Amino acid sequence: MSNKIEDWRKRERDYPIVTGKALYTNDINLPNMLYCTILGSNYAHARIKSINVNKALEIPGVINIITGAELMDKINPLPTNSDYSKLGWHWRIPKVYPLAIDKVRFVGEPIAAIVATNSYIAEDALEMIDVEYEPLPVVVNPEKAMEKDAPLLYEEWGDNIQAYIKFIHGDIEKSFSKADKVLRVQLKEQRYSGFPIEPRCCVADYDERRNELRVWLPNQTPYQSRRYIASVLNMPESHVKVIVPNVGGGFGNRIVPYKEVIPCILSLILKKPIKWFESRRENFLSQTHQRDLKWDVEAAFKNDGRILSIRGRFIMDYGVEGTNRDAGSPAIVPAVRSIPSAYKLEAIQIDAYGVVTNKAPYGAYRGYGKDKGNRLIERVLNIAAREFNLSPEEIRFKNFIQPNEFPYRQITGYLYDSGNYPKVLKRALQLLNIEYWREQQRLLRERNRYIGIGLAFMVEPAGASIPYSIFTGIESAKVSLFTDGSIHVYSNTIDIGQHSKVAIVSVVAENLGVKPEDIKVIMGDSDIVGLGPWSSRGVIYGISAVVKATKALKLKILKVAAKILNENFENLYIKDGVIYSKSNSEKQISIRDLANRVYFFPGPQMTLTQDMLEKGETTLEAIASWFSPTTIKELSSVYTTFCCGADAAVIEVDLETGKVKVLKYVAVHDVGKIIDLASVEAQVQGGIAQGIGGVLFEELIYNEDGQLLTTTFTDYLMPTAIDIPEIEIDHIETPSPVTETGAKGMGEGPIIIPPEVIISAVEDALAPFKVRISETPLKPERIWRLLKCVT
Amino acid sequence: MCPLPKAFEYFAPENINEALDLLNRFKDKAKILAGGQSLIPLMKYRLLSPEYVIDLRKLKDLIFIKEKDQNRISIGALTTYIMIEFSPLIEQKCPLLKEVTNSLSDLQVKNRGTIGGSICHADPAAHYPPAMLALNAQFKLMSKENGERIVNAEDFFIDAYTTLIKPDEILTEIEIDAFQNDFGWGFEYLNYGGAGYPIVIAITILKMRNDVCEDVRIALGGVSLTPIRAKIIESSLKGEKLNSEIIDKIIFEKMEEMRINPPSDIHASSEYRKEMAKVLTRRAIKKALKRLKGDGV
Repeated sequence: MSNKIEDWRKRERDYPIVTGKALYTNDINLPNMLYCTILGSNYAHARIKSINVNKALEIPGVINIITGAELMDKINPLPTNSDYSKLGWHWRIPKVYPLAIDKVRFVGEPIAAIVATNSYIAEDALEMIDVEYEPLPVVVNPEKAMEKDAPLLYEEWGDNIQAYIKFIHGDIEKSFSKADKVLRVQLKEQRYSGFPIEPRCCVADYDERRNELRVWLPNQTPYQSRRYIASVLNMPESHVKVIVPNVGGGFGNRIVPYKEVIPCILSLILKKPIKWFESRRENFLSQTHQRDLKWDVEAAFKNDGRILSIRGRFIMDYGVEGTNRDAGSPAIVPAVRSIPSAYKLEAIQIDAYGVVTNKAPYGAYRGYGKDKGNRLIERVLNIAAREFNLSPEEIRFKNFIQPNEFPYRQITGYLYDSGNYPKVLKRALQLLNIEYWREQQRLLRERNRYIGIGLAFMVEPAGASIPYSIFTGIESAKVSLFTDGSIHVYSNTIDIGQHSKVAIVSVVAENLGVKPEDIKVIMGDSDIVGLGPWSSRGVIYGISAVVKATKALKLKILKVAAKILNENFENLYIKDGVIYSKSNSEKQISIRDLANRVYFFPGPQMTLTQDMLEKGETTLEAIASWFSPTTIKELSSVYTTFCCGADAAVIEVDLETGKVKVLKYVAVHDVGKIIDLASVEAQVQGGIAQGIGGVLFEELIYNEDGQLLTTTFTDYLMPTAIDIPEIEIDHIETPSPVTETGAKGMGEGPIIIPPEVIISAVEDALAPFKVRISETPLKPERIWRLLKCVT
Repeated sequence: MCPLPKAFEYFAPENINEALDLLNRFKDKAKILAGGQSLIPLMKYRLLSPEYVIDLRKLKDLIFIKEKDQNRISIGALTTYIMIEFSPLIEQKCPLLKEVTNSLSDLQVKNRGTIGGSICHADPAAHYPPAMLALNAQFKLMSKENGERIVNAEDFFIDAYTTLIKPDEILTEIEIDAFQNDFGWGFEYLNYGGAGYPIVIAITILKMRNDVCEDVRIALGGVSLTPIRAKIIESSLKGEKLNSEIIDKIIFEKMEEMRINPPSDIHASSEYRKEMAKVLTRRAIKKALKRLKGDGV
């Protein structure tokens, strides 16, 4: 089976991508298509006094130019993607239009859109638009934005706090009163995000005769995107269709098409197909950002290294907002609730602030919020380990939830499905050969070389169903048998790089007994009800629905076969698309033959059972939906599966330059039952690369005026193959009792662990100098300065 | 904004005379396309919008690497990075240039980018300009009106992205030192990762006699708006019996005397660049010494 899947993967997925045959949105060209370009604000905070487009309109080939003010009456504001005010929380939703009306709040905020006969002309016209700004004071630092006299982004709010939630889990006072030692831990993580190889792009085609808008976009949530676009355009949802061609990478930032609605509006106005694609600079400026946060907490410990509780303050910098242009604001919740991770804590209490500043909007990026809580607890434990003279593994073994304690209700409400944390960590230590490296460290120090060993653990809450948001957790799948013997699977578990099609083909082939090449997967269409891949939910919701539907179809097929072959239903099995009798090898029929008999020659009456005929069940297809059983009873138990992982690494610090080199990296993950090993390992590799990039050098840098200084890949440093060491991976499989396959969501986990692994390794390398790291990225100059302070 | 340039007129002359004719006609309204690894992105972002682009891709005569005499190698301006990296002559006679080329950019850029293009672009963080200084390079510049002139690398770079090439001139040939076996060399650069440019580059070429430094050249990149020769350090090293302590001492003292004032940017402060110039220069000299001793590096 696995070889066949490998062949399928190469032929159907990889070959078109590496040979340039895959179809991306920008490859779609329609007759009479026009081209759009979008003018972004030069100012981070300013009132728009006037926009003069006359000169631009004179350029031959320019068809139309629209501005926010003139659109205002024709469209609706961008709808929100989450409204937690309904849960009684401080949660503000700004009124935001696709094009700024009277004020701009970040550099790159769309101001006007130009349509021309080609993109070059549109770009020429863009330079001729004259915008008169009245600059306003800018705020880019969230702590400054929280001060009383800070410039206000939304005057009507009276302050810059979009979200405030006081999280109280357990009795914090009581727990702290038992503490032998209280440690203060601060951690600041810079602004960065995922930047896919394919920037944003959109082809919108409004057909006046049918009053239908077709939209092609690289998107991970076409079902929600259709609703979003229809809402802005004030059109019935059923008159909008979103189609997703190949996607050139998605890390959470393909969820909300806030800028892509602009070409949609233009297509509706001009009744012509419109294409929009952006430059890398525009992508950096206005694609949503992530991370950018600060923890300041106290952690209570017993003297033996047991952690009791954590309390403190958390600030997330949302930039301009995180509820309408994307869905970043809600990440504040898992950021806090994932703090207890793999450990038994008594209480946590966190004041969490989501603050608005004059920077690009806040969105989703692999990890979403789970990275943030996990990173905090791992930081706390690594610091505590040194404090109590324990090794980083010892302190974890002391605090782990034990294998016999599952299902485990975490204090923050999550219901952990299964796991064996000590086993995973032990395997990672073994894989690294940690004792060998500790000995090497000792020897090398004598020769003035400083290597460090770092490790961290994580638990990834995956598969969310979040009330009052576009992330509720609904999902469907349809599986159909056609008369050519092919199986069509309809599922919106879109492949944004995570090989979801491979997983679908694997489970259908296995559960139905058909060849991979006979399976066709249809995905990326807003007509399929399903929320798409995010929150590592593909194998949880998508695959579970597909498996349920496949099993239902198999049952139907076998019932019909039993009648045709005059054989007992239980005595039949399907292999490579042929139904066989277990006892009589003469009795067999291919599913293709069966489908033909049922549908056409002779037809249903002669082939289906009486029961099926009476119920009108004449087609060989099944539809199924799936919902997370763990999220039904308690609303705070938002996630479904909880995979875990332990990474460990050896790094070397060049004391003179401060440069960190990763020498060895190992990763052990327990993702439940593995459906497709190659897909899992590719995700682990990619996530670790992103995690290492994030901790070492990726950074979106704004100056005081709110100008983004990193708008190319020579300034925003994305790791290349040279920067990433060979990664050794191993797996432990503790199946999930809640999903159909036993698999657990695992896409976000791999990015969560590396930052703390590297930070703790650097601290370990520099232990003789007592260097404490509380801020990233660890660019050489930062480490050089830390060393300068202590030497 | 789409990544698209303003309209321009494109020419691909058949020979150098045609190219010089065109350049003479359009002067600073024209830009020379010699690989396009910097020019095209600049045009796409409209940071540069020349009215005319003169593409030298047909000038195959300007693609060569040859030995001029015992001591000098001549390289055509349109020779790509990849040709230099894999040239047996460069490997034998100028391994320093091979290593410098190996360390820059990625395969796609190396297949397109040319040595002449890089030198004329004069990015203050680029690899080739300091290498040219270290290798005593001379550039042959041609124009229609004035024919040919030869310029020393040391005089060529006058500011960031600015050289003394005139609007009607084309760089056609680069001449560099060939190595004799009694020379050692060291090439050190510090970059952070990703596609980032180096923060600082230090290149040294060293000749010793009986443990005494007979000749040394040190070129630095990233510490100023142009590549520089560290002549104060060079003259202090000459005549010294070199060991680790002396190298450290001279560099720490003399680098201060040079009063370099590197630029600060988002990647590194002036102070850090200055310190790294010391660290990398020291390392480069030690590597050169090691090579001379045949210790391997």
